[in-house]
Amino acid sequence: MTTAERGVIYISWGEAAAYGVEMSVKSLWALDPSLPVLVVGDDIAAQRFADRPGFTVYRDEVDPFESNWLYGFLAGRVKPRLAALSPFAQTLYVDADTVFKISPAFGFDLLDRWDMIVVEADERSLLTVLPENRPEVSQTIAELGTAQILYHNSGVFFWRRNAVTVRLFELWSEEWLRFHMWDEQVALLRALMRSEALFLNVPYTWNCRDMKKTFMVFHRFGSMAVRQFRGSKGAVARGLPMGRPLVEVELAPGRFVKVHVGDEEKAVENFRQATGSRRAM
Amino acid sequence: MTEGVLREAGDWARPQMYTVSPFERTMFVGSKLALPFDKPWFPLLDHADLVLMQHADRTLASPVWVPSDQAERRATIAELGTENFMRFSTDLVFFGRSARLEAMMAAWYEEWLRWKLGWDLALMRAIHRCPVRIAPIRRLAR
Repeated sequence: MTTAERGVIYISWGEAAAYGVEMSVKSLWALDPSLPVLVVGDDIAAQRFADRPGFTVYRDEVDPFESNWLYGFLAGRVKPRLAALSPFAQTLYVDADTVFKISPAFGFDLLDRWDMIVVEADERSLLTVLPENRPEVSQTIAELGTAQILYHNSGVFFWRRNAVTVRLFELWSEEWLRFHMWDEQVALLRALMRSEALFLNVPYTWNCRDMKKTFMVFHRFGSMAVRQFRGSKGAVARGLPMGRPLVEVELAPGRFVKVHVGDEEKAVENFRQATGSRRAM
Repeated sequence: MTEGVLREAGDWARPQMYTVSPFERTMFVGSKLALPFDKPWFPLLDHADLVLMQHADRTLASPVWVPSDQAERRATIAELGTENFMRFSTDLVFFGRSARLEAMMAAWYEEWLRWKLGWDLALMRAIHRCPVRIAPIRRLAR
C-alpha cells in the first residue's frame, strides 16, 4: 500500500484545538512527512489550514458543543462520522493534544490483517467514567454482562475502509445516540461488540499520558483545554460551573478517590508527588 | 448450546484446550486458579471468539523475566515488532467455536512447540498470525 492511501484525521473546534493540531502534525511530519492530513472542524480550522500543503479541511456544520464547560464537547457528534468523511483507505484518527513519538506506519501495517486498532483506556474500567454517564454505563454493563471488560480511549484509533468498518461506525453513531453523553467511548465499546470487525486491542502505551512509557502517541488528555478553563482562583473564575459533580479517579491500580470534575489531573499529580513517583513532563 | 467448564489437571499443553473441550462454549480454568467470581463471562461469547484476561504485566515491557524465558521473549518482540502488544493470561479463557478461532488455536500450539515454555508468549504470536475477535477483561487483581 502506498503512503498516499494512508492518512491522518484530526478534529478541531476552537483556537486551542487548532494550535494542538498544528503542533501534533509538526511531530507527525517530522517522522513521516508524506502522510496527508484531513482536519474536520470549524471556521477557525478552515481558515488556519486551508491551502496549506499536506492539509485538507472539511468545514463541518455540526456543532459538537452542548455547553461551554469542559465536558460540553460531544465528540460523539463527530467521531462516528469519520469513516464517511475519510478519503483514505487506511486512516488514523488522533486527538489534537498529542505528540507523535514514532511514525504511525507501524499501526497502518497491522491493518493488513485487522480491520481496526483500538487502544485500551489507561484507567481501563467502565466504572471510572463521569457520574453523569452512569446510566449509560449501567446499561452497558447489563447488556455485556460484566463491568470488567476493558474499554478503549478514542483519542487514537486506526481503521481500514471496508464493509465491516463502515457498519462499525454506523453502529457507533447508533449507540452514541442512545445516550448522547460526553464519553463516546462507552458507545464505541458497545458498537465494537455488536460489529463483525476484527479489532486489535493494543495497550495504553500507544496513546499515553506518560512520555517515558509512550510507544506511539504522547497524549495530554485535555490538559490544554483544562488550562483554558483554569485562569485564576476558584471554580467560577476558572470558568468551571458551580456544584461540579464528583468523579472517581484511579490514582494507582485499584486505588480510587473522588474529586470534582476538572480536578482529575491535579489529583493524579498530587498523588504522584506525595508518593514520590516522577512525572514524565 | 452446551456450555461447560474445562478444569486443568496434570501435564498437557493449554493450546490443546480447543480440541479437548467437548463443549460449544468453554470456560477453561487453570489448575492453580481458584474460581474468582460467580458470574462467568459466557455472554461475551455472543460478541467475540474468545474472552481473555489481561496478564498482570500488561505488555512485554516488564523487566521481570526468568532467564529461561528471555530467548523466547526476545524472539517474540522481534517477530511482533515491539513489546507494546497486549499480554493476556491463559489461566482463565472463555472460548466458543469458529473457523478462525480454530486456526488461531492451531497456531498457538505450533508457536508453543517452538520453545515449550510458557503459554502466553506463544498466544501473543498466534494472535498476531491469526486475528480473532477478543473481548479483553481487565485484570482483577495483581
